[in-house]
Amino acid sequence: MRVLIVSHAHPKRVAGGAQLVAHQLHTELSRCDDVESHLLAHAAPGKLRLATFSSLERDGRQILFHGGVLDPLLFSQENTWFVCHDFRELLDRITPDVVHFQHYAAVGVDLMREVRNWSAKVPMVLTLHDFLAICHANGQMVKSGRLHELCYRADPRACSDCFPDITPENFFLRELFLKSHFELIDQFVAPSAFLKRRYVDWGLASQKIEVLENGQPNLPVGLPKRQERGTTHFAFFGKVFRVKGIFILLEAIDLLAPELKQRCEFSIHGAGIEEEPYHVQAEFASRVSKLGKTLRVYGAYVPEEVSRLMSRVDWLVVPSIWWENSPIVIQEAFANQIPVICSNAGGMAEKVTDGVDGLHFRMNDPRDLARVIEMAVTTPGLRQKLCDGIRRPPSLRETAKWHLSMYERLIAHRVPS
Amino acid sequence: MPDEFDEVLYLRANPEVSELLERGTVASALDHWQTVGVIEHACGRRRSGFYDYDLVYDEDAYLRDNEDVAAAVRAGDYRDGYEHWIRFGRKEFAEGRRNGSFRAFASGTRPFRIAVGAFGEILAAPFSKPLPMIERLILRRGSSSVTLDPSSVSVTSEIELVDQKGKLTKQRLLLSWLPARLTSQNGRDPQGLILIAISDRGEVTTVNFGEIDQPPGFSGIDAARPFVQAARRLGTVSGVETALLAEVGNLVCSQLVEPLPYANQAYSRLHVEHCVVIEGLGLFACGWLIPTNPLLARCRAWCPETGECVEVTTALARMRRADVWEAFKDEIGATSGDQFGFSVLIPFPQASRLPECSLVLAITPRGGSEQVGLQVRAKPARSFVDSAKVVLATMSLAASDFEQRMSATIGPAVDALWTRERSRKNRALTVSEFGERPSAPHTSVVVPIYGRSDLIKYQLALFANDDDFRSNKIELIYFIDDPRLIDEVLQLGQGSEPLYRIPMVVAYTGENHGYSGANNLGASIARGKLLVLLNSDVMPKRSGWVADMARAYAELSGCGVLGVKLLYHDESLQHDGMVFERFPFWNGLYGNNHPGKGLPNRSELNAAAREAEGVTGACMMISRALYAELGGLSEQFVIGDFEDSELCLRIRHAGKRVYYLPSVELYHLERQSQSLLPDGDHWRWQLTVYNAWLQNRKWREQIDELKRAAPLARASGSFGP
Repeated sequence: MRVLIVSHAHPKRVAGGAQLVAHQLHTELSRCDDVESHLLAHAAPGKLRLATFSSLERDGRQILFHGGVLDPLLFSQENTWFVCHDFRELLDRITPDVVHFQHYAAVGVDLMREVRNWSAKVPMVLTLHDFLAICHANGQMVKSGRLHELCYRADPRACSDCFPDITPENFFLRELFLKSHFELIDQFVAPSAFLKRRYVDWGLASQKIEVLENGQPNLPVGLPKRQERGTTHFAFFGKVFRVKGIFILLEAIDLLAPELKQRCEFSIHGAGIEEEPYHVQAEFASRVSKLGKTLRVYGAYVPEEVSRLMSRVDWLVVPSIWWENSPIVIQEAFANQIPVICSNAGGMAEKVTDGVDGLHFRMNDPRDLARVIEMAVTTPGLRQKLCDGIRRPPSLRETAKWHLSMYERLIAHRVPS
Repeated sequence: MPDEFDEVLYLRANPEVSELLERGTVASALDHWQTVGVIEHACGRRRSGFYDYDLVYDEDAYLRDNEDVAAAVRAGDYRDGYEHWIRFGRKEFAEGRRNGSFRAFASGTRPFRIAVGAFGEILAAPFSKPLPMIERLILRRGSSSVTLDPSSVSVTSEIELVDQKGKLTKQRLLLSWLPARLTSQNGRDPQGLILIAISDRGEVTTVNFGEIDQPPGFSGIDAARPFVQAARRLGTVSGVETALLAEVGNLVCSQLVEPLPYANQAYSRLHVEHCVVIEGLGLFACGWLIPTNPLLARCRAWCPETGECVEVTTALARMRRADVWEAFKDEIGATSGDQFGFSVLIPFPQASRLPECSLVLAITPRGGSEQVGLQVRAKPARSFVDSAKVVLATMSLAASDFEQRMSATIGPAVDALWTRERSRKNRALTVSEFGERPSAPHTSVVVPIYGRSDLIKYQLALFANDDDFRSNKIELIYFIDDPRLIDEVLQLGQGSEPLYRIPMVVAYTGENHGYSGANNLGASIARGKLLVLLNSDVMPKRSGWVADMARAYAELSGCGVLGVKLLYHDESLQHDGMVFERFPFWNGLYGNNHPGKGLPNRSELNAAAREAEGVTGACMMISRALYAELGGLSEQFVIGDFEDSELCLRIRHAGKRVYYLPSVELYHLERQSQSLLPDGDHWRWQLTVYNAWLQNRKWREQIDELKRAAPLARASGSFGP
């Protein structure tokens, strides 16, 4: 079986959850018997090359796609040549039996139509990693404005309130346009039931969406054994963005009583703050410096380092102030047997059960997070109980096998219309 | 050559220069003047021969009238009186300290003024003997003078006049025209007014209008008429007629300097605010005039360039002008409700074809003999919109004579302007085909494009999932009615066809034709048996809608046109069939009502096909043969509105039926609903009312009949029981 996976980025070029999942799936599928997997990922063009495609690291199966300018509202190529000619040529050469879109940002939804033009028989799968089709605000469903209210349902008039330059009619047209392409997809994959519910509300058929958890790589051998130290180590892993709740964490730390603070240490792993607006960076820097030795900021890390870094951590904190879908860091934490403290909404609350494998705090509330941190430090035996409650997330091999059986089912059932 | 220098006159006055010329001592007369003559003239030692004061200088008269100068000359201080005149006398004369030196033509009857207008006055000088042929004509008042065109005077045949002694004599009148800049406030001037006529033989005749007065028995412009007619009969050069008539006319008189009290019903003032040329028809003028209608005896319009003249007293439409009353209420004591405003369509077809013309309007108040007149320039406005805005601004729905005004003035004017606008448009089509155009499609979908081209992409994305569009059964035609979008639509067509796999035809003329024209032109190249007129902002809800419409069209008996249900993006009703209703805020005109607009759609209610009074052109199906037979949508409607309902009326008139099919639903993203009330864009609202009036004008009786025959229930439909 030949599989073509289409992704909006490559993790070796731009770090991020969705592209990591795409790459991991590709790598794992390539290890399976009788499966030939190709990965097409969008990347910014290099300095010298002008071609639409380039190959990654002499690997024959990973192709970078440089072409085109997308209409940002519609995710549609302005110049259809990249789609009808270049992408078509790729399809002719690879002749996949199934095309799995892990995303459509950067590459455009038109590719879906071209696959259908190319073959009436080849099924298409789309994994939904965020709410991008529903929400123009980075797919986060958080309203614009100072208050960062959560949005529960998209509606053209409400969307126009968030983006006054775009009329409700244009949001409606966007919805019609994207849906006309989603109509061509045979199967959707959602990493969380929460995300599936949002898309069903939006109008996708429930039976077309399957909930499949993202797989986790096996733990590397030779990890250092966990040591007991005097302090409890709380860590944040991931993109250091405001929307990830980083300021909730900083304020919560500040609210802790001094004697409690002495019993804790806090770490922040990850890059991203440099992409935030200047005033956000300035606020971050000033708060961090105020907290002194209690908090350490470590900067970027690569996925391969995660286990080694987490081996020193007692609790993972995921304080996001948006819904989240299925945060990779939660899966990574569970894979490393670490309980999670997270906001009590969205995909986070689905993956972490309060009192079973982690603790919830009220989203956007630093005081409540401080309370939970205190509880985590002072309650004896709590951590062990929660660790025991952790279910190991599926391995990459397992998810790859799920995908393969799904592909086989779709290929068998696809009836050309 | 200096302006005044006249070689012939110079040589005439200085014969010795001719000798010098013959001998070759000087190269030319001008040379002599510039080297020697000028200085000698300034010293008073040489006559110029061409300066007017030289021409009329009378040595004897000067010395006779100025004793001190005579004494000085005798004493030898000056060579002659002329020297004194040149060096000092001219200046003193201008200052009023010295008598002039002109030969005056004495006549038994003194010269007099015939008429004073805003542009000047006509003076009449009686002569008892014939005048020589006039070569040059100069008019002097004090120190200022002006050279007149000899054709601006004329001589009448003999007329009986009463002279100063009271005797009746036969005189000829020399009529001359005095431009306004030479008149003074009261027509009297200490230096007097002198007309100097120089014949081709060098004879100089002067007429001293020292005291200008009207002899008894002459008053007003009517008095001038016989003289003007006499001038015509005399067959003087046509310039006289044109100049005199153009400046004075047979209508225009003076604006009274001292207005009489309004109560005497003779007060009059006139102001034209707009004068718009309606090519082929005439001139449209509007403004205000005092008095109001009952006190207005006559109103006449005249075009000097073409001679067209018409009485418009009864054709004036009057309206209230509180601002005019405010300005003049102290003088005239009128009431604020008086209708000072006016608008009128003046039927001057010849004048309307000139690039520019004048319009003279004159009114006579009742009880007054004087007229008040005004002359304005009229030219066609830069654009149709500019002209139409002026005309439509005089429309007043609340006025009791609204219908009368529309039929007599506003309607014909706007129609003529729009017809002309349309006739200037090029209708030659450029057709581009993208993809393999179906050779024998069942249905042609015609979509006019204006303002936005990105809507095409959305339609294509939705049509692409509809197999009917990918088969050869449906033909898609986009007509670009917006020349600004031609390039991007062609590019869109080029890029879209390989991706969406729907062949499309793109047609344009390079002009903007309006909604009707665009649809008619698009339909003219269609191949299908059926036409679907579709707006660019209509998006299908599901596939197969065209086939469903076609099936219904074939099955419904006597079907002429078929409409469908249209929804806003929030699934509320946009179109659920149209109903004609009299709108009280439109002076009782029938307008098109969309019952249920904005209310929730209940698709299960009243889902069967039914007859309707009208259906919207945003999505309508009609057989192409019927469309052609009826001549398509009427292009008389300005820019766009009511064409679809009017087509439905015509279809009914041709014996076919108008059907509405609620089971087929599409989205219509109507961008901005046209308000029925004049908020927001006033101009567009006025156009809507005009278009509504047009529909009423043609079809009011039929709509009344339709209502009587089958009154359709209002509160039914897809939103209620």
